[in-house]
Amino acid sequence: MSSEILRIVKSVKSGKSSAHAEVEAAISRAEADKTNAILEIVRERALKRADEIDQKIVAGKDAGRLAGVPFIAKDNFLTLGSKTTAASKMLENFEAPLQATAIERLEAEGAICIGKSNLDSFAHGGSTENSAFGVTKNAVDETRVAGGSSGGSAVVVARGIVPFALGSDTGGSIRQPASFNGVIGYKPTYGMISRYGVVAMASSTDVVGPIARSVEDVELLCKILAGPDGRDGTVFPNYFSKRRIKAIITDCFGVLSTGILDYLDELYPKHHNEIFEMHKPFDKGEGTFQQFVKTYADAVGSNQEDMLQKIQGARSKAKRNEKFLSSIENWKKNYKIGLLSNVTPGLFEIYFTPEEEKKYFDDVVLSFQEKLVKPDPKIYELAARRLGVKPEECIFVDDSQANVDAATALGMLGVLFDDTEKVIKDIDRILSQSQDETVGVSRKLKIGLTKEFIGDGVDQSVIDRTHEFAAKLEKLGHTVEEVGLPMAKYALPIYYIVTPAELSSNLARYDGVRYGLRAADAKTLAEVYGRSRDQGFVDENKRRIMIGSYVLSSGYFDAYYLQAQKARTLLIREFDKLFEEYDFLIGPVAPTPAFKIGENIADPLKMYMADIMTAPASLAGLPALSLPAGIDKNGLPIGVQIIGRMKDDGALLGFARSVEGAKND
Amino acid sequence: MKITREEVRRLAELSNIFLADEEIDYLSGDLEKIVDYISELSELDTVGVEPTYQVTGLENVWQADEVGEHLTREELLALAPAVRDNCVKVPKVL
Repeated sequence: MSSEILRIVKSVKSGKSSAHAEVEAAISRAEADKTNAILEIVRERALKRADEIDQKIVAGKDAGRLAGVPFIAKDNFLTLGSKTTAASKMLENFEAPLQATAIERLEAEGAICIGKSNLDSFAHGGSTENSAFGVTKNAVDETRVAGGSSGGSAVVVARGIVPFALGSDTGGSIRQPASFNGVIGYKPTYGMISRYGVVAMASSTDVVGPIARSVEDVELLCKILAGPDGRDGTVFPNYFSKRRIKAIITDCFGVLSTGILDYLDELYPKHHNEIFEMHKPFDKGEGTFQQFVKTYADAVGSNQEDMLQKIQGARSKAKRNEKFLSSIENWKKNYKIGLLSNVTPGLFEIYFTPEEEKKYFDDVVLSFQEKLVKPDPKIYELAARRLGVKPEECIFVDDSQANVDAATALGMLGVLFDDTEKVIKDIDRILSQSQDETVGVSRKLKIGLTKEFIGDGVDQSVIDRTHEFAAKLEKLGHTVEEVGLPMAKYALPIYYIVTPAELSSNLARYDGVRYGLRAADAKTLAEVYGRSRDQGFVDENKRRIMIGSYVLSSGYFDAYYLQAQKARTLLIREFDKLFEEYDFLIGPVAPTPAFKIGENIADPLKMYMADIMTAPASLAGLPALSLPAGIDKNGLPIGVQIIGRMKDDGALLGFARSVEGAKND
Repeated sequence: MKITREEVRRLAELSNIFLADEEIDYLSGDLEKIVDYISELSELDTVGVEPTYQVTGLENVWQADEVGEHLTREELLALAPAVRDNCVKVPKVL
């Protein structure tokens, strides 16, 4: 599916439309909404900002990558120009004095927040039925729930009110409503996006993420949202790389093939030291081929004729790294490949025929020809220039640390060549994260289908859609195998110990003193706390806070909280083990399509089951995407989940994009 | 595990929530179910396993000790339910 965001930006920037018109149209759609997905429309501020963006465009200034794009934020993001309620009575009249970093980042690129969406109060729930301001109806069937807790955000995107919305995900709160409403929801790696200014729930799993209608839009938003802001110490440096790789430059001997020294070493083991000593000037690019032959002939006491013949036969004894060479052939389809070698005149030609040179490389830079040797930065610059790319657009591979360091100092992405398989994997990962829009995943992947999630108690249509998705991946040439994640059955008990513990601490701040609701009938300070919290929280908030108090209280701490955190370690180990072999894990997002409004409300435990397939990735901090995979017999949307390695967000989204594209063929 | 009304009262007190009697009735049933469910974890052997409190491995993220832009006293006091003489006002404690 193509990018709706880019379409709007293009139309706004070209003058075909305007930010004002886009915002007006989105507000009209929001006003007409009958699903109770939106808690407040931010009219005044949104239109003012739209006009500012239009003026910028008229003045010929850069209006940003999201110029004029309207969006809606879950009402637990602090925003200016509206209230931020977290769908609670506690914050019913709370007007934030600052904005969340995520909102600031989007606004800095010209996006415009036009409203706040409904959620389960304080994001506690999986249906948006726990909102203090009424349930949100499913985008497809108004008798069913929107899912949650980011239910409102999923519905406004599904109903085309805005091209994207922001959500937060602690145990599935972006992915599950996305699945229930047929849109894409992304939970990035824990720590990819700043959470500053988002109402905290469980600090060790809370993440911010986008909900949109194309993977391309999700990627664009992640690029803008990722990276630290100094106000959330848990954010990683921006690994969601801005680097665009266009070329790979590789060393020759030691990487692609064993070299002449290895060969001579084998022929004349007794002369090892002399040969190494004599080779030094040649290593620096000095001398001619004739001198080279003579030197070795002298070193081992043979005649030049004999040595020449031996050297010319070196290729047959060389151990060529066929694995790496075939990866190079593969990379060459999408990237420029350069060779940069410190080599004696005449030697390269012995190891690589002109045909092979053409097959593997777009350009070959040899030290003796240039009178320059690695690690002189000039020769790296030359190699990049001859490929028509900038140094920062290059990956540089070499088996010498000094040579790699010099490349890195110049801005190249240096990769030390040690283990072939590892290096190939690293490069593939860098390439898929390099966000070059023209490059999907060229490599065939190994995918694990989590069998615990397609077993008993899971709706048949959910199982069917998941199998169809797996079949589609196989058709694309990937390998899909059923894998076990035995700890998955404990993920939910772990989750419902760890999160209540954390949220009971985070929600202690709502005490009726400094902001938020203060009970009118409170006579003493204790009553200010107790009555404000009784009146400001819904039942589910109270249940979770009290469970948190329970598992953290003395006498129970070891049995519950500590045991859960140890079990969490075991779950993470299982993930780690699977990711040694598999690139991604797939499975459903939730055991059923959207359930009926009221169906599970009387039984909190039944409601918790909605998180059973999403909680594991949350506890491990892994990136996970909910992707629409079809509908059930009633037309209800069903999503599949793709889980990736930690920080592998770029690769995961690249993979999802390649799969999404295939669906429309 | 049985969650008695007394236990619910204790948890409400720890959580600083004044619960009405009828709330205690139905919450005790809910909490009992939840506690029973999370107690399943006790069957798991975790001897010798280190707990995971956070997943990033980041620690001690420092920042320069510089004066930045912050909210003003007025902006913050404007949020408080009751204010007097530039202070947040609460009922008498002593």
